[in-house]
Formats: sequence, C-alpha cells, structure tokens
Amino acid sequence: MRILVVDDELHIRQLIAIQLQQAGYEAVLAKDAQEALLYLEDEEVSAAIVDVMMPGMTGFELTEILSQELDIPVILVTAKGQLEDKEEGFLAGSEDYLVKPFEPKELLFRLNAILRRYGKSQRNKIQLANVVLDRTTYDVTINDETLIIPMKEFDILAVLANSSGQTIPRSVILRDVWGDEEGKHEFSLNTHITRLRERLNQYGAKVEIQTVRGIGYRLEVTG
Amino acid sequence: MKTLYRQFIQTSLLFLALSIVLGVILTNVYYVSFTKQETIDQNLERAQEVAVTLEQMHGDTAALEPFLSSVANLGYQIALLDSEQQFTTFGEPFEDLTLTDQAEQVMSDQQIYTGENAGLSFFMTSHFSSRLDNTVGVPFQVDDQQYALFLRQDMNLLSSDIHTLLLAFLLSIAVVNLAGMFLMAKQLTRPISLLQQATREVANDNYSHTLTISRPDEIGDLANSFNEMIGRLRQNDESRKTFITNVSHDLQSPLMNIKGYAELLSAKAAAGSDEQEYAEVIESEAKRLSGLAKQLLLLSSLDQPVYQLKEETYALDQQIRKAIRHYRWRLDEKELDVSLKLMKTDVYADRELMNYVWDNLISNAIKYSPATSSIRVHLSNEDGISVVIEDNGTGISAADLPHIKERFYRADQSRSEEGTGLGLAIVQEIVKLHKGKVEFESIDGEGTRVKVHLPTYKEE
Repeated sequence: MRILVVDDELHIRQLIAIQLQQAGYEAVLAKDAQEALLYLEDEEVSAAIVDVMMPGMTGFELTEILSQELDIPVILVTAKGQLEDKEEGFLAGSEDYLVKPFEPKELLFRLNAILRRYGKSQRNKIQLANVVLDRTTYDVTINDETLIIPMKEFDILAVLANSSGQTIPRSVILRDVWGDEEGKHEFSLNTHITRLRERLNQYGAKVEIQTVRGIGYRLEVTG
Repeated sequence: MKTLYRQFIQTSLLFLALSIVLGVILTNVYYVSFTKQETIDQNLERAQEVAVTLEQMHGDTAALEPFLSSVANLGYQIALLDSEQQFTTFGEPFEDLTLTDQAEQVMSDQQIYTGENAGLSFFMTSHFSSRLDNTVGVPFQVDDQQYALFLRQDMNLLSSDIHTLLLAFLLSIAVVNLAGMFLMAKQLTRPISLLQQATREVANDNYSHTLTISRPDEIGDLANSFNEMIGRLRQNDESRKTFITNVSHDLQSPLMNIKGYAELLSAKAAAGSDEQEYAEVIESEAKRLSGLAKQLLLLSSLDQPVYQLKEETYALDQQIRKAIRHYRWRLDEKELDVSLKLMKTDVYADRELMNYVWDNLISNAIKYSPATSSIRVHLSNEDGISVVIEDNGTGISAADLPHIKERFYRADQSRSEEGTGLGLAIVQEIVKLHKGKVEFESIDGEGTRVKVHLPTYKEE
C-alpha cells in the first residue's frame, strides 16, 4: 500500500518513510503541498501523512483538498498537541492526528485504523442482548457502560457476533482477524478468547463465548 | 442596579417639576408687582365711569338695575350696596360678600376702595377669586341716596378659555419634553450597554467582537478607540499564539528526529549490546525533553498573574471519550480494557486546558497499569461534576502521596522512569483555576483512584 508523506523537513520525511517501509508500506515523499498535489495528478495513494506547519500551503489546507476532493484519508502531524490545532485539523477533514514526537508504533496503529475504517462498508452496529458493538469506533457498549477493549479482541468478538449462535471454526477467525492462513496465531487466539470471556463476565454482558470442542467458538445469548 | 437610563429619567422629571414651581413663583411676583396695579386702575376707571353715568341719570332709580345688569353682561361682576346695607348683585354671583372695614368706608366716608391691602396675599390665584375684597369700590349718589358700587372683571368668562389654552400649551411642552428626554436617554445608554458587553467579551479573550457604533460625538470616539484597542489586543494574542506554536514546532521537530533515529539505531544494534543501550538512553531522554518543553510552555502561560480562562460550555463526556480514544494504541499495546460510565454532562470550562487534564490523567493510568488489566472512568454530575479515573496499577506509596502534585516531584527518585514531574502539578493548577479540586487515593501495589471535582458553573 502506498502512503504519501508530506513534510518540509527532510529528516522527518525520511524517518517516517523508514518506519513505513519497515512495516511493509511503500512511502512516497513530498516536501510541500504543491509537490504532493503534483504527484497526485497521475498517481494514487491509500493514505497521506501531512505536517501541519509547512511553508506555502499549510497542512490544514492540503488536508481539506486531499480528504474532500480526492477522498484520501489524512493523518495530521502537529507539534503543539493542543486542541486548537486539533480542532482545526478535524474541521479540515483529517481522520486522525499525531503529536510530535510520536513512536513508530503509534503511527502504524493509527494508519492501520484509518485504512481499515476507510471505504469499508459493513454493518456498523451489531446488537446482541445487552451488548452493542460499534464497528466505526470499535466501542463495546454493555448496558450504559462503554467498554474499550484491545482491537484484536474486538475483531474476534465482531466475527462471532456477526453470526451469533453459529459455530465459527478457529481457522475462519484466524483468517479474518489476523489474515493468518497457516495457524501461526493459534496460541494468541486462545489467550484472547480467555481474556475476552473474563472482560465480558466482569462487565455483566449477557452473552457467552462457548467452545465447540475440535471446531471453534460460538457466541450465545445467556439468561 | 440603578441604571443610567432610570437616573436620567428621574433627573429629567425632577427638573420638569422644579421648572414648573419656579415658573409659577416668577409669574406670581411679576403679576403682583406690575399687572395687578394696572388691572385695579383699569377697573377703577370703569367703576368711576359707571358711577358718573348713573349720577347723570338723575334720580331715576328704576333705571339703575337694568343699566347695571347690562354692564355686568359685558363681563363684570357687580355688587351694589344701598344705604340700608343691602347688597344687590349683577352678573355671576360672588362667592363671598363679607363687607370688610375698608370696603365699608366707601359707604361711610365716600372713599375709593381698591381691594384688600392688609393680609397681602402673594399668591396670584387669590386675586382671581370672586370675593368682595377682590373688587374696586366707588361711592355715588342717585336721588340723594348713597350707594356703593363694587365691581370686578368676571374672571370665569375671561379665564376659562385662556386657562384651557394655557394648560394645553404647558401639557404639550411637558409631553414633548419628556418624550425627547426618553429618546435621548435611550440614545445615550444603548451604546454604553453595547460598550459594556464588548468589554466583557474582551475580558473573556474574545477579540473578534467589534462595536458597530458610529456617532459623531464623544461616545462615537470612545467606540472607535475601543475598536482600535480590541484590534491591538487581537494582534498581541495572535502573535503570542504564533510564538508558542513556532517554538513548539521548532523544538519538537529536531527532538522527533533525535528520538526517531536513535530508535532506528537501537533496532539495528544487537540485542543487549552497549550500542543498543546507548541508543535507548538517547531516545528516552529526547522524549523526556520534548515533554518538558511542552509542559514548560504551558506552565509559563498558566503562571501569568491573571491567566484568562477561555471558558465555554461544552459536552464533557464527549471530551473524555475522545481523550481516551486517542490513547487506543497504547491500550492495545498493553492489552488493557477501559470501561466508561459517562453521564451526559455539560461543563463551563476552558476546553483546551481541561483536555490537558484528561490527557495527563489517562496517560498516567495507562503508564502505571500492568498489562491486560482494567481502567475505569466514571463521570457523574450529581452534587457537582466529578470524574473518577481508577486503575489497578502500581499505586503510589504513602510517603510519596502528599508530594505528587508538587512541581518536579517524582516518586521514582532515581528518575529512571519517563516523565518530567510536571504533569500533575499542571493538572492541579488547571483544576484550581476552575475552582475545582483533585484527590488522589492510592494503595501501593493495588492501584490509584484519581477524583476530579468541578463545580457546576452557570454561564453568566
């Protein structure tokens, strides 16, 4: 996947590029808005990472063009970390923001999140007994309490909830959640299921993950 | 509050009353000292003419009464006293026919009477009353009979029209005057209340407000200078913000590079090698420096003698939810879960500063939570607004607890953990500015519970 990085500072561009490449993305670099727009005339990218402070056209203005006219999700990079900047960024249509200095893990997490959110048409909300899964925000609501659980656990729960009452084979979960065809994450799946059960139980969810021996799991409404 | 408008109206009414009183007194004085004597002289002349005419009619007492009544019809009140002390009146009847000593002398000593001089009444209206002592009197003889003729102009006939006209005149002056004053008062007080409103906006750091008063007078000048002042304040505010933004950008970008490249180095170095350790030190120190720079900038503005809170009403539950979502990646990294029980709550506070508070408290909770544990965040608005953030983390020891809100205090004295020791001091400062308080409860090794109280503000 090709990601456009727009920043006027060479070293930061390079750093982000290295971090992206190490994670398996292809990075395209531009030193300002003009260069970025010129590149986008003939090429396509999946997402853009844009610095707020740039000479010439600012990051906000560029974000507006990218997200509204070209339909490219944008992550803004800001130094200040104060809301004024952030708000302006959201108004300009950016999907998310990063505050300098950020860690490569944070960058990749946010990039992943917007890529999976963007252009995916799914049933957004799944309700089962007193549990609601919101696939746009990755929130779980149990009664009136909002629960934020790790992304992987959410994905597993969403796969099970999407066909509740049916037994889902472990291989299907591994493929849907990890993109894993060879069963490398078997062990992870076990621990995630255990934790997910604990969390659901702790917050009084009226659903239960049942193990179907030798096949997989099934989400059932209880009580 | 005693408004300017009311004061203006009150003063106007007072002056109106005063001018009426003064006017009445002045006209009285004028009347008594000039007009009165003229009227008396005129009346005396008429009376003497009548008396002469009657005397020339020679003894025809029968003609006396019709003549006098026709004179009365011309606008006089007449009282005729005959030798038997009997009154016959012509025209409008008198209110009071008491014969005073002076008036009696007309009959007894054939003297001329010009009204009562004793008990001098200074008030004009007494001269208009139809009393005998308000007349002129002359003696005359017809058929050897002694008579006294008392005469005065019939004021009822004369005055009623003039009085009505005068009253209408005065009333219309008063009405027009009052209406004018009301209008004037409105004209004066409206721009003043606009100015007051604008002052309040500026006090709240809102420099976008401009006054739309264009008047050619002093108030117009004041409004113009006020607009100029707002303009300058706006410029100052903008340049201050630009400065802070520039400083943080110019500090954070190089720090970001140092940190990022050190990270790349440590990833390349062999695990456990000296190179990896050195690179990690560079990385963590760069991170600390960057946090310090941000917090010092914030503290420097908070430490101004009067920090202007940019307060507004907004949904607090949304803000906290957003702040937590922003840490999703850290939650994921540590496989934590967060449960949120947030009542829909509006708060009147400085959005930017409060965001710092939640950001800091949440990142602390995440930092000190062991992997796969839980964090609970509750917002309730019963009995003031309270936000509770609870974790099952390492906790704070009883010895450290009283000091954690001090600047540069760090529980870990070796200072090996990341952090600047400023975060909670800033949180404390911000909450105090909002007239709230922060409470920490902690059991070493079991977790920490932070409670932020905020008063429920009413927007003024």
